[in-house]
Amino acid sequence: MKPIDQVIAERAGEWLKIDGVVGVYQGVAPDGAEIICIAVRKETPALAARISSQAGGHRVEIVATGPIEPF
Amino acid sequence: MKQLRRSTLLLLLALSLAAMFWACSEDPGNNVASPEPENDLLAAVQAHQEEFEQAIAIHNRAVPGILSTKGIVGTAIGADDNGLPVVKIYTSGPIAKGPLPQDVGGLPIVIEETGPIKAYKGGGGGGSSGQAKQTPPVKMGTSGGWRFDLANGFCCGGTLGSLVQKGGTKYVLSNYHVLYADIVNGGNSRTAQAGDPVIQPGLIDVACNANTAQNIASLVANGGTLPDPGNPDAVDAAIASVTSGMVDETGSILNVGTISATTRSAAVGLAVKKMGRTTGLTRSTISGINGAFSIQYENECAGGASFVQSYSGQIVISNRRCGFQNGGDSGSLLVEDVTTNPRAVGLCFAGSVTCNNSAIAIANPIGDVLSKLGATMVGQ
Repeated sequence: MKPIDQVIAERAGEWLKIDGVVGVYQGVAPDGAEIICIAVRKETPALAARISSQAGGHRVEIVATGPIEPF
Repeated sequence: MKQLRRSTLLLLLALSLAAMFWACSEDPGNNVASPEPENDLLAAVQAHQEEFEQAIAIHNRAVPGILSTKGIVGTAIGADDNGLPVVKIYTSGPIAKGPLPQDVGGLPIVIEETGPIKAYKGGGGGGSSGQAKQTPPVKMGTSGGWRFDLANGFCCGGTLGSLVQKGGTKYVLSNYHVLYADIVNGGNSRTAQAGDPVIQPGLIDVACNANTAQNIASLVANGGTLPDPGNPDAVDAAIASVTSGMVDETGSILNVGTISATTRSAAVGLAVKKMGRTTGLTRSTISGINGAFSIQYENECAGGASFVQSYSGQIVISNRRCGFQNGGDSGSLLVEDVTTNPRAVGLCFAGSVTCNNSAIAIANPIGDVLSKLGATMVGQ
């Protein structure tokens, strides 16, 4: 299994090109597992279908953060 | 640059008022069952969810400017008869059209005279407001911005986060987009230049009238770090040289106190706090690290699209319902949540504009900020 930060570094660009994806980051699931979080404007079936639930051996979860802008 | 929390409260209040008006505008003498027009409108609104999300983002940016106009007591996103978003502006009385924009980012405006709006009963308040004009020497964590950040009918501002030093000179640390982002002559016939004053409070807290604020620092050449194309370690940071006697040179942050001169790295689960102009002193936890984001910037206050900056290695903070950070808090220093001399962790600069339970805030790692600026924190 690749280190999670390496997976993010390698694949963030690819995920960010998907329409509706606004960010990618490393988080922790309630069970303590390190996971890859894909931040999206809105969770849709189309996005769920395009984003694999695993990457480099790490769980991938979609988080509906909404659009991200400078504050 | 963008204030939101107060506006969110006003938004909710205004939406409640709008709902009340809709409910109360029916002919009271008509007891015949109607075909439930509210449900038709609701269905129409739901069919335009994307438009409403975009409208809310546009409105969030525009709220400080709208509320700075004398006679306006509230604003909200409403719907027209076709279920499309409009910007509602509530006034205390009749208001001349002159001070009002024709539209808000392309959204039509509907003006409603509600009369003054008062709080029914508030809590005890307490704590020092980050929006107030400070008696010099001012503390960090307070409202501030570029003195001329007024364009297109709106004014902008953010938070003066902390002090840094380089070569023995002390500088206010905030964001590029708070202090230096006006890069076109556009709506105010000027751009941010070295030597321009930085004021406290920012224009958004003085009804866009810089004469009631105070100059506390000056922009410097190459004081902003953006745009920074292709740099994976880009940061949205800016410095302004402190005006002698106007800033607390211990680097003390309002409601936080003196911070440490050393920094620490972020970790998921780390308890953090920040003092910002909009939400004040708030606490949360870091929910993510190694974040990668592409952020769109404007070319001046309420201006057009400027550039998209890519970031990596960012800190993600849980921002449930925007309770930790919101528009106008940009520039706040993210510190560890300890009582004495907390160490800086990041520089807050962006976040979700949709304030749901999954909302996040984003901060540049402070190590990247200091490295880019060639500076160190001012603290103990």
